[in-house]
Amino acid sequence: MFFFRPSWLQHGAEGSGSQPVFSVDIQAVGGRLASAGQDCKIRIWSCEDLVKAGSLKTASKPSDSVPSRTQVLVTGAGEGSEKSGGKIPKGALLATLAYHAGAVNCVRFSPDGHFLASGGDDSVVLTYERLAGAGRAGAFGSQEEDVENWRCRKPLRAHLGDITDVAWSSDSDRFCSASVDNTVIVWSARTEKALVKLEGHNGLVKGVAWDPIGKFVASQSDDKSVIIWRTNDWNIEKRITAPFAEAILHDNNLAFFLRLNWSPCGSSLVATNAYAKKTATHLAPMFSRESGLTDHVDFIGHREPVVVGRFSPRLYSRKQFSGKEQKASKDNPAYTCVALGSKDRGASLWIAGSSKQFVHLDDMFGGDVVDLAWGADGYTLVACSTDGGIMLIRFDPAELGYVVPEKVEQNIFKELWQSFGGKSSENGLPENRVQVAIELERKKPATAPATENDMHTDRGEPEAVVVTPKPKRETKQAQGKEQNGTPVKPVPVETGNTPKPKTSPPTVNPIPPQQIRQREERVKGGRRRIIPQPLGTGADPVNDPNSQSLGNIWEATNQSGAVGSSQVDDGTTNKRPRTMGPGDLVGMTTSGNPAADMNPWVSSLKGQSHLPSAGRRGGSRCRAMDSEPVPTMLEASSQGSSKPTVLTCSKGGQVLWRDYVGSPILALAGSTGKFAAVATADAFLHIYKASSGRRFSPPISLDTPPHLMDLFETNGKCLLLLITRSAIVNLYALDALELVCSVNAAPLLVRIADADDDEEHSQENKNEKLRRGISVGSVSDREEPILVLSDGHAFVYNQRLQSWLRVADDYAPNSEYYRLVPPAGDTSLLSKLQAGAAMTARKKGTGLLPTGGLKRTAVETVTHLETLMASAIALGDVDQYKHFLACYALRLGTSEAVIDGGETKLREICEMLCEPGDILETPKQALLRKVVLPALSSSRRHQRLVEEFTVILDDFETEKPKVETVAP
Amino acid sequence: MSAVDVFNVQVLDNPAPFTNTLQFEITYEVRETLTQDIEWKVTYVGSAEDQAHDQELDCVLLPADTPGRFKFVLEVDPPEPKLIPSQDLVGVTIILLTCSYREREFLRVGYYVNNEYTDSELQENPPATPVIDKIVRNIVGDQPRVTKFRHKFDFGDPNEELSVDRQAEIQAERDTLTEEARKRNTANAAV
Repeated sequence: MFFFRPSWLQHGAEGSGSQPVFSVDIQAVGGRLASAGQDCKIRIWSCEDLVKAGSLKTASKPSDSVPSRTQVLVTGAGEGSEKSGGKIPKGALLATLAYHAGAVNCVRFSPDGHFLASGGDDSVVLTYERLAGAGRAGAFGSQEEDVENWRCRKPLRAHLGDITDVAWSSDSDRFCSASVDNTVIVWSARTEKALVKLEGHNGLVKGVAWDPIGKFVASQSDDKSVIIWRTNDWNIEKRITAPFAEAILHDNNLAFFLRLNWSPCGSSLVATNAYAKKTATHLAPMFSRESGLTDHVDFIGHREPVVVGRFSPRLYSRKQFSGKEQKASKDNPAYTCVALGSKDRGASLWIAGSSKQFVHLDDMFGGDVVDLAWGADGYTLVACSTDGGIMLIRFDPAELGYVVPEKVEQNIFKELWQSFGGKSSENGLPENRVQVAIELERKKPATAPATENDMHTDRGEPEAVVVTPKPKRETKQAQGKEQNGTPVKPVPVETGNTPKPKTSPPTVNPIPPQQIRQREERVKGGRRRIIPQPLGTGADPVNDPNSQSLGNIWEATNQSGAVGSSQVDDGTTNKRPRTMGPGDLVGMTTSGNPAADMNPWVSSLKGQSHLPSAGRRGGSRCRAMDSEPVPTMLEASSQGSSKPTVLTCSKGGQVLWRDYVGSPILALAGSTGKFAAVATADAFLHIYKASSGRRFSPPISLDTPPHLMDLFETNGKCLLLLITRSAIVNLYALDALELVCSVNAAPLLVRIADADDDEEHSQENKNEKLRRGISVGSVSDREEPILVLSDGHAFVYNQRLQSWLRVADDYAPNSEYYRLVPPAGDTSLLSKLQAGAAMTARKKGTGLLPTGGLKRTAVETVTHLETLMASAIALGDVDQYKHFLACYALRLGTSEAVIDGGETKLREICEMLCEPGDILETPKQALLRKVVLPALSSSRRHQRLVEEFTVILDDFETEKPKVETVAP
Repeated sequence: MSAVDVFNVQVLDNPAPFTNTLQFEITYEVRETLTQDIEWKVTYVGSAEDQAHDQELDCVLLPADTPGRFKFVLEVDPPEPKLIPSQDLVGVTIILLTCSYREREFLRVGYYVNNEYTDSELQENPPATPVIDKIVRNIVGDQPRVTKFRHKFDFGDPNEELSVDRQAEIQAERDTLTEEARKRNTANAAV
């Protein structure tokens, strides 16, 4: 064996003394070492580099052959041998995480290596995950650069005191934390929520351990007891007090930690700090599960209390296993090995089954040994101490035994676990090479927006897409602001935030000011208040008009008093007899207008104006037709009531064309080079060719004056969306002068009256009928109108169903896909709508509150995903559909135990995708093969299912064009 | 665990004449939502010798009710030269950008500022009464001195008195900065 304690492997600034290191842990998958210390930082090191550096400087001790008791004095490599703060070799220190506000007491990697959890004196539990790429400089202002990028997720606050220990469940799904507030709290890693608080100890809880089989959680406390909690109902299974009854607890013998540990096979639990007064010996009892944790073997050998016990994750055997054997046999039994650390500044190793120490390491450090960690290979042990040292120990197979190969180990564990009543490990063995190949693929570090990481990054740091203001919206925004009544500093929209240079700067060029969008207001007391710009990842603002206007939903919903609010500010109802229904446009084809006729409550809106008028009567208005620096503008000005309104199209002050319109113009829209449209107060729509101003069609009659009008260019076509005051939504294809569709949106806006109300009653209250208004109107890629209402809900009109489909709402607050801000890099329409809906609900306080609960969250997430997938189809967004399909498959694959019918859902979606045919022009089978199956194979549980469908798909491939067999 | 953390600060319009507004583009991160606004303040240390000459240039409130990263530009009026002792007007001094919650500071970013004449003649023979219009201000924006103070934000006893230790901590931090500034001033003067 050799010992290696480099001077640079420590905490604390270089040059100054090293700070106590309270915890170490080694990642099972990935081989990183994490250390946590009093300097409030966590450092992540590369084990490989450590071992390499160590083997160059071996301070090896004579390796006596086992099994005779070996006492090794380690002083040579111990305290004070080298001055602390030597240079760290390149690449050894991977990252420094300084997110705790107090000393960090414990760090633990999750068994799958994905997360790191830490608990500190600030009563907060933090979890971290690694993202691809190099870390940015440690923090703003520090000069450190991290090799790896570890992101800190949501801080978990629920404990009322320092957190002493953290333990993960073997499926990496949950973990628990022990604290000096006498409680243990169990958390869910994915949802970052507390699940249960275990109260039962009467003293500071200083150690916690999760049974690898998953049935129990054990915790040890200063109240001289170990409590075993059942994981299914979280009640106390057993309280063990006997060996600890005489434990010494006065000041000079107070143990920092009481870190107990289960053996990897689950058959033993080693606890700490037991004392036998009679013989005045400190011992660590190891309880056997077979005996119901009553019988215990005591490890005697330390002069001071044992503080930490850690089993090696591997099994060993005296003789090396040849490739063929599958099991341990009598003449080559497999055994576990446990390491104990103590206040007497040393450690000891024991082989299960023997009550004599295998190795005793004296004098390792200048202070208590507080934590131990084994490497995944079974030959490396790392210890840390309050004197600030971290020591690496490498063993020889000849000393410790040969590590049993994985397959044999799995067999042994399976047997044992079954005998203990646990289901065999949740991760079965890979049964075929396909599975293994897919798993290896997944093990590569996720690049920042991978499907799985997306889920986590969303929760922690939603980053919105940058939206630059467009002059088009100016009129509406100005209106909105005035309605507020509060004095607002004008946002310099068009010019961007250029500073007002008083004198030209003499030498160096100043940094060009960036276009930051922020709003300012004044609060009581005269102080300024700024609403900042939420940040994106540098995604460019999309330039097509469609998403621009919808991109502004983010802003629109953020402003109070959004345009088109449900307040009807025009009291007069305009009883206009309808001369031409929207379906009868100049001999065009229509696509029905069924809804209005059928619904009695809505009929009273027909021909009546309930939505506010598009613009105030009188005055002039203008609109830009493009987003050039010098835009082409459409302007309407009325020159008094007797004269007709002038419509002018100009660019940079130069008039391009002009027209005189008989009635005040309320709405303008246009696109340079294509069309310009104006809608007038007398309910007519005029269309011109934008370049010349040539009238393109006779004035088109509308049922009521306009409320909202916008022009979109989708798929090369020019589509005009016009919403009239009676909430009829008309979509015209201008090039062909055709009506794409005309629908009544009134049912979406009115109050849902009781079925028992009679017509008369509802007619009286018709002015209060509107419960929400239209905020934004747009067109989807499938040329269907989309409406975003003032409460954030979004609807798209589906032609085939001839109804409005709700694609964004705030009804799934517990879902993990419920976001307030679209995720980084995601510029899709669906996400923006979803985020807009959620944000509006939040601002208005109307959203449902998340109620927590693991089961509810799981169910809601899955159903939300189903809705999202359907919404993506309705909006025609293939990428979003694929994205959510992958998330859905992944989610079902990992949590179908919690959701009823999860297995059935999985099977059904696979069967549906097996059929030949397309969804959104993508062959279904391609979706199955490329999206769903890889997502499912992340979990071994479903390998049968994956295999089954892979075979079916292959069959389809080979038999291709002719045979159309139905999936079994 | 700080609920609000600064991610980046960029000094805009720099170097600039002394009479120009000061502009900082600040990117901050809200890890945990707070019930009240956070307050950003810019202070100009008029004289490294005397704390009494500190000028609070402005103070703005920002919301912290949504988790995520946010960016904004903080533009404040330049310091009033009359309040600065004339011998300290030209030379090295400090600008402090601080962020507080519930009246208590949790973040402080200090910058060294170099005020000097561009005109070489004035540089050689600085007049007794400084000519404000010719002074150019150069904030050393790439070497910020960031200090974070412990703060309970919304998670502790809000009435907890600022402990003596904390006050000493803040004062000590300030003293180091001013000490440095003084040293630099004397170094420059010697040149």
